[in-house]
Amino acid sequence: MAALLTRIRARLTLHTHRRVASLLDGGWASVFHGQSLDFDDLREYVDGDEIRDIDWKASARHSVPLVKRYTDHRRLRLALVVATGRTMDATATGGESKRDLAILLAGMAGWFAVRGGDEVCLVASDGHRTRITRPESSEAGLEHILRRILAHRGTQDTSTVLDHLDWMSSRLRRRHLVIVISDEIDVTDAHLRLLRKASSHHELLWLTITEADPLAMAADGNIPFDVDAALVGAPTGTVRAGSSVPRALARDSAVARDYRAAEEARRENTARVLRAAGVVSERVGTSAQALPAIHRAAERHRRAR
Amino acid sequence: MVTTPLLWLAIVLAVLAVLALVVAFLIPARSRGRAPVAYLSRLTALPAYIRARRRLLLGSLAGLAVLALTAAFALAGVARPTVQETISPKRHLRDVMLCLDVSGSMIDYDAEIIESYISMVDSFDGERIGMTIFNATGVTVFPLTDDYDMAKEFLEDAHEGFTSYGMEGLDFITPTQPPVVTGSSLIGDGLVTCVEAFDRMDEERSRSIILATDNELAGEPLFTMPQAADHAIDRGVRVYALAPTRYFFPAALTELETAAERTEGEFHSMSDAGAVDRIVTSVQATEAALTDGRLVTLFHDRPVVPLVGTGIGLLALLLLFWRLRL
Repeated sequence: MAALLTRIRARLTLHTHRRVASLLDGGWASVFHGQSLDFDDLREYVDGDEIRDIDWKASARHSVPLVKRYTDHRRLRLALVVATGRTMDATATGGESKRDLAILLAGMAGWFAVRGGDEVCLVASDGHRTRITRPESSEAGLEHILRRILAHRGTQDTSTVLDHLDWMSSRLRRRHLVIVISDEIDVTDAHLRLLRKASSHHELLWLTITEADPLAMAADGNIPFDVDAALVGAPTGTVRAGSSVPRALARDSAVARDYRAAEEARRENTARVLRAAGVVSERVGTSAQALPAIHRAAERHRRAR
Repeated sequence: MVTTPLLWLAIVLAVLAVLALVVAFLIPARSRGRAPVAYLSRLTALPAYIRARRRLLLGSLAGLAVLALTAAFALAGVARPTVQETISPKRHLRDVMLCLDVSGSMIDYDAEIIESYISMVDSFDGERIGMTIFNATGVTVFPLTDDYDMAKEFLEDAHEGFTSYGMEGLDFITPTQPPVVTGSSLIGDGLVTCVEAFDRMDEERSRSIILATDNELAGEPLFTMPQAADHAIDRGVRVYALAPTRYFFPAALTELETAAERTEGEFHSMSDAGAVDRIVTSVQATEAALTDGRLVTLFHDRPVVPLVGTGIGLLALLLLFWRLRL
């Protein structure tokens, strides 16, 4: 029953089989510098390889360019810090469920790790408090992790990845590669300390799943309602007033202008805080953007070192 | 009085509309929103959004009020407001000519007779009345009319003239006693003048004359009393004679009575001045009994107010929809 992972793997192999196979080899920056940087062997250059990975001296003695192939690091442990709260049941920019997108991202990142022989664990809420799963190094174990994310569908949980990072900072001694998968929570200067601490302790990659635009949805006649309000109102079958956007308001230009400005400011601020904390962050709106975003994040992270 | 014969239809429609509204409100609001989003308060807490929302709310309320008013007007129109009117059409076909002898011998009675005429006018409804006075010659005070206010004015004017013997109000002596006509109290001529005062001879109308005279002739008339009566019969006019009681010239009164009865009218003798009232009433009753008093009920639709209201309401609604681009 590896349904979730099968689908993700199909997506990976379908589009970028070669690219992925080559790119992710040593794609993660090593958590343990020094020992893992020495390479194992050389192989022929293929499209998509980094130019800087080309071993020029070796290539000079050969008819084709050769790239360095890093040895597998010592067992790297990947910690997937995934938001599983109730806001994840909402719609992402592309119209998919944010939870599905989170599963896709976690599955892709996890699959690269598992395929490379690394261990993966999930740091997420169990509905009440933050939990960390047993490290998994098999595809079945990864599938299990993905199912945990899925299982929280319809939860009342309001915890965010910041809570998980806070929890993690005091408990996870060993250095991890931490990939945070979250929706657009408010990341402000108040969280800078926490983020700095986490990013100094671990290698931190931040994947933001972007929110759907309620004004655009309302204008399309796809009336948006707040998941929070829907949960609150579920027992009575009603939705709190102000928790949905009437269609007429979606056409109000003053509202649209102010909303765009406010969102822009908020995104700027989030990006600034993450940058200040030394966290590499990428934004993902649809499943099509998932793989490129992971690639970009990995590349930027490697270069940042 | 306004009645609404289709009130039940309006009520049925109103109940249906209310039921539709109730059903619309009973459908849970959850089924209206379709796409879940998170952090919607980032939009809904914006001051611009709150302002726009309040504007929309007020606009909707105004629209609702206009809609309700329009619906009320439309329902009022559906109820078919009707004004019911009961008329007796025959009354409109009745002409009464007041024919007054203003010769010296009648002066004492004329004021009384006029008074009873005045009170009689109040009881008229649809009949036309006219007034002619005569002495040596006949003069039309006012022609047949249903303008009772005007008739009353003339009658009051005449009353004043009779009580002051022509010094104030209507001067009845000069116009009825022209120097070229010899004699006075030419009753037959006066009666013929009265008969001739009826118009619309081609119409089938009930015509009657209340002739107040003592029939004391003083001169050479063109028409004698029987001739005048013949003329009245020719024109289908009934003559109700009203004469003061006289002991000295019974022959004149007998002639008058005969003439009146020949025209199918009646003869009344005034034993006292107060009797005039009774006589006039009796004349009216006789006339009413002779003519068909069947009542006819007419229904007049009064759709103007509801239609105009509905129209204005629809215009306002269109304007609102256009403004809100709903």
